[in-house]
Formats: sequence, C-alpha cells, structure tokens
Amino acid sequence: MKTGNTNKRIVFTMGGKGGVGKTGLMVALAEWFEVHEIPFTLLDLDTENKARGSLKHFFNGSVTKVNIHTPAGLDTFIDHLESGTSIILADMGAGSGQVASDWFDAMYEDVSATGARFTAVGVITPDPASVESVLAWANRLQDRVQYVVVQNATSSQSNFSYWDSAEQAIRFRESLSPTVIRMEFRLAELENPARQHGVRLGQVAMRQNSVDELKRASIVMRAESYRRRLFSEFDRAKDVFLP
Amino acid sequence: MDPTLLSLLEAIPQKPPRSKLETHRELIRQLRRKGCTYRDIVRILHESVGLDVAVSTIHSFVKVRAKHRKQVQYELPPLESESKPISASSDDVTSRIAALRAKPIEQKTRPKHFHFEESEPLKLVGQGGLR
Repeated sequence: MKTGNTNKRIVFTMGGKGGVGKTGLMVALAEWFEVHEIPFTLLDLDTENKARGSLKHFFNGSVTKVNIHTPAGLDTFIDHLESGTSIILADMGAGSGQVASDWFDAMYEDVSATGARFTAVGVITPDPASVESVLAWANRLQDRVQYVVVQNATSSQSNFSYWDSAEQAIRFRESLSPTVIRMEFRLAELENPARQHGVRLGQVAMRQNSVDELKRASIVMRAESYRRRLFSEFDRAKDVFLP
Repeated sequence: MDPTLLSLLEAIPQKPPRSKLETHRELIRQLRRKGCTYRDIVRILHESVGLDVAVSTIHSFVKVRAKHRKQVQYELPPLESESKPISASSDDVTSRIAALRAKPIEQKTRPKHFHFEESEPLKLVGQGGLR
C-alpha cells in the first residue's frame, strides 16, 4: 500500500549530544510555523527529557509524547503522516541515533516512495562533541535527508572553530551541503526564566505570560529582536522546512 | 520409476511387523486419545491381554509411528503437478528475455557520500588535517 505523502515533510532534531539547544530550536521553529499559520504536528520523542524544558513543557496539550525505544521505532512518523498533517516537527532525545539509523535502514525506502521528505536538524555549540555528534548522524543517514545545522551561540563570544575548520566537518559540508543557520546567544535573564516556566519567545514578546521577570520592557524587547532575527534565519532555510 | 527397479521392488516381500505391540496398535491409539498415560497402557495390556511390556517400549512405539504419520503429511506431491507448461513461442521468449534484461538490479548497499570515523578526533585544518 502506497499512500500519497507528497507535500509532506518531517523535520527532526538529530538527538546526539544533550543540552545543546535542540528543544529550544524546535520550540522556535514551531513558533515560526505558527506565525505563518502553517499547521504542524509536534512529537516529543525525547523520553529522557524531564517535564521541565521538554517540548511538552512549552506546548503542553498539543504535543504527543512518543517512546521510540520499541521495535516499531519511528513508525509514529508514518501514522502521523497518514493523519493528514503536512509537517511533523519531532524532537529526538539524546542517544537516539541508533534507533533512527535502524529505522531509516528498514523504512526509508517505502516512506520516501510515498513522497514524504525528511529534514535533519543538528544543533552545534563550540563544544567539539556537538560537532562530532552531527557528523556521526550524517554518517548514518547520508543523503536520505536534507540537513540543517544550527550554530547555537552559548556565549557572546562563541567560537565554532571545530565546525568551521575540522577536516571532517568540511567534508560533510562539501558532500551533503547542509543549510547553516545561526541562533544568537540569549541573555540568561531571558533564557532561564523562559525555560523554567515553559514560556516561548513569542509569549514574552507579546507579554502573554504570568512571569513578572519576563515582563520587563528590556526583556520583552530582547525577545522581540531575538525572535525577529531567528525567524529571518528560518526564512532563509525555508526550502528545507516546508513540504 | 524405471521398470527394472519397479519389478525389483515388487519381488521383495513385505516384512511382518517386528513389534509385538503391532497387533494392539488400535487399542493403544484409542487409549492415548482417551488420555491414558503410558503407565496406564502398560497396566491395561498386562491385565486385559496378558502382555508384559516396559513403559519405554510403549513410548517408543507411539513416537515412531507418530513420526511416520508426520512424514506422510509432508510427502512431496507427484512430479507432474510441480511444473506448468511454458509458452515456447519465440516472440514470447524474446519479450520475456528483454523484460528480464531491462529489470533493474536492486542495489543492496547504498553508496556512501560522506564518511565519518567516530573513533577519531576532529582534526583542525592546519593541524594535520586538510591541505
């Protein structure tokens, strides 16, 4: 049975290194789709992530939590594609590489034959381990997906020398042509309470939250400008995010 | 079968059953179907027929014949039903060969575009890396 999944895309984070900002990126990307009024389905595949800071924490009822560490692996993608959603945003947990690799080996051919396309998002920081993690995923997924690499600045002076200059990273860029976007360093005064209370950037920018420290004029403006620049990065990469 | 072999087969007489239980085969079968244990059958044969046998003998008798029954179930069908006639028309054959030639060979392994050795550390260009 082949069902038509043309005009469908699955965007998933390459869940390798933990704590690099995968969920934060996915939250912002979901907001970008929301702003453009494009419907999407959110899947939280990070079974290790605690309630606070998980995708479900930011979007609550609209997120489906899925345990992928079963023999069915990522079959949930197929079920949600069938349900009619044109975009699936899936936040994969740290250490999910083998599950994803096995699933792609077993199912990719048939799922892609229905017309569905995949985008793998890798988030890197100055930590070389985050770069290695993305390269290890790419080594497994090869050209079965399109790649987005997000440079997440974890400080005001972030240095991505391992991404920029490592021989292996250069080879990856030359052979699989990832789209590279940047996430700016966020002030702790904005980032920490937002994560603590599960408040999204848009909710800070529009003062749609009940957290006093996120209602300060300077924080609201920071959120607005940060969001605007991140959204312009998403706009630049829209071809690999849209079906 | 070859006629010589067939006549040889017919010339060999049927050997009589070697087991003394063969004459009570149906009784044993019915007792097993009623749920009797091998020990029960030994007792019944002793009391009813005056036949003394060991429990293991009854067990072997039943097991061997059960095996035979299974083999009959999986017997190969006659040779003539295995094959069906193939159209020998030269046009048909030519087109079938052409179709077979045109059938793409399934790629078993995907060509890799990117290789990353996970056990090796990242090498910065200028530190023993590229160029």
